[in-house]
Amino acid sequence: MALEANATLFVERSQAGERLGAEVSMLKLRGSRLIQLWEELTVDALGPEALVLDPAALVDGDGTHDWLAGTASSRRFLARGYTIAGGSSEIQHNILAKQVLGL
Amino acid sequence: VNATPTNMTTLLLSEEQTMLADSARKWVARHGAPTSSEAGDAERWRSMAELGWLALPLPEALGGLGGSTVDLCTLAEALGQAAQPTPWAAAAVLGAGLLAQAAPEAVAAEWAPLLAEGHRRVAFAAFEPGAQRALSPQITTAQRTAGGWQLNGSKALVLGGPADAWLLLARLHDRHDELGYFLLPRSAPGLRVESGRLVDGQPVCTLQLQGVQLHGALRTGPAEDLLAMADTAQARATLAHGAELVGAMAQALQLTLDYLKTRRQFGKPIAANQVVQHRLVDLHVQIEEARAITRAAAAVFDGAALPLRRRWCAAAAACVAQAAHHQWEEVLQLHGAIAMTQEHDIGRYIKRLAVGRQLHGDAHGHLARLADLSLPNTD
Repeated sequence: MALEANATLFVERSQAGERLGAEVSMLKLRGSRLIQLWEELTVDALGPEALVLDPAALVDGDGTHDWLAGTASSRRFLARGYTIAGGSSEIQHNILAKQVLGL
Repeated sequence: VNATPTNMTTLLLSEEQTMLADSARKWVARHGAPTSSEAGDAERWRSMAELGWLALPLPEALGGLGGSTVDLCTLAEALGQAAQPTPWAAAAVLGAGLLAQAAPEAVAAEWAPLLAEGHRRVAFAAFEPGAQRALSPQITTAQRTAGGWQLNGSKALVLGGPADAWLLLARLHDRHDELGYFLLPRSAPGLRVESGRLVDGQPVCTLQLQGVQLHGALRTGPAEDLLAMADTAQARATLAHGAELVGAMAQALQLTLDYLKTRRQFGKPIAANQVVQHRLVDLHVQIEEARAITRAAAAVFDGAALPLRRRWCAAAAACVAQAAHHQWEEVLQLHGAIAMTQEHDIGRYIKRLAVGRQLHGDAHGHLARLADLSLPNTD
C-alpha cells in the first residue's frame, strides 16, 4: 500500500505537469523487491509442496511453455529477474544516490 | 477493499496546504530550539494559537478552522522536523478535537475559543496502567452520587503537556455496558498528577483518581458508541503523530547527509563510499513511502467508508512505525560515535524516532489490525 500511494503521488505530480526525474527509480527498486517477497511468501505458505516440479503446469494451452504459469517455485526463481533486468537494484541505488541525494 | 485513495481524492497538496507547510517550516526555524522547559512550551503554545494552528483541528461550527486531516498532517509533518517537545498533535488534535465531539454543545462552545486561543489546554487521558493501548476503561469507574459523580481509578502515559483539564472515559458503576466521558480539571480534589518526561523529552503524566467529585458527565451512553468516538479521534491523532515522525525522519536524514558529506575517513568523505550511499538511498526511499502512505490515509480519512479508512490508517501507522525503527538505528550507525553524545543534534531525532515507533502503537500491533481488517475471518 505504501508503494501504491507513492506511485499514485508520482502519477499525480506528472499529470499536474511536473517533469519527473531520477526519483521515479525508487518505484522500480521497491516494486521489483515486492514481487520477489510476494513469490517467496507463496513458496513459504505452500511449504514443501511448493518444491514439486509440475511439468504440466509449465505448458500453455497451445503447447508452448508458459513460465509465469509454472509452479510457485519456478515463479519464485523467475521473479529474481526483476531486480536484475531493466537496471539492476544496484544501478537504481546508484542513480538515486547521485541524482536525488547528490552524493 | 480494492478502492484506492485516488478514486476519490488527490494526494497532491493544495496551494493553501503548501503555504501552511511553508509557514510551519519558518516557525520551526524560529522556535525549534530544543528547550523542553515549561516557559518554552507556553511561549510556543501562544505562538501556535496566534497562527491559528490550535483552531485548525476544531470544527467551524465552534468557531474553529475545521481543518481536514490532510491539513493537520501537513502541519504535523513540518512541526515534526524540529523534533521539539510541544505536544500539538496530542493536545490540539486529540484532546481538543475529542472534547469538541464528546461534550454537549453548550460546553463545547464554551471551551472551543479558550482552546483555540491557547488559554486552556485539554488532553485525552486515553490509557490505563498496564493496559497497553486499549481505549476501553477497566479500572476507572464513575459512580452516581447525590451531587453528581464520584470517580476512582488511574490513567497512564497521558500526553499533551501541562493540561488544564483531562478528558477521560470511565466505566459506569451501575451500568455494565455503559461508559461516560468526563472532564477532569487539574484542581479537582482527589486527583493526583504525577508529571514526568519520556526519554525524548516529551511531557507525560499519570493521573490517580481517588474519590474525585464532579458535578456532571460530558456524556454517558453505550460503551460501543463512546469507544467508537474515541477510536476515531485517536486514529486521526495517530495519523498526525505519524506525519510528525515523517518530518523527524526527513530532518534526521538531512542531518545525516550533511554530516557524511563533510566528515572524512581514509582520505575521502564517508558519503563517497558506495555501501554508505546505498544505505542512504534506502532511508530516503523508506521516508518517501512513509510520507505517501500517510498522505493517502489522511486523504481517505474524512470522506471514506469506515472499513477503507481503518485499513489505510493501520497500514500507514505500521509503515511509519517500521520506518521510524529502521531510521533511528541507521542514522545512529551512520553517524558513528558522535550520535552517542549529547553534542550533536542528531541525538534528539534518534530519541524521538525510537520513542515514536512505539508510542502510537508498534508495527506488530498495526500490522495485526491490518490483517484482521483485510483478510476473511477464519474463526
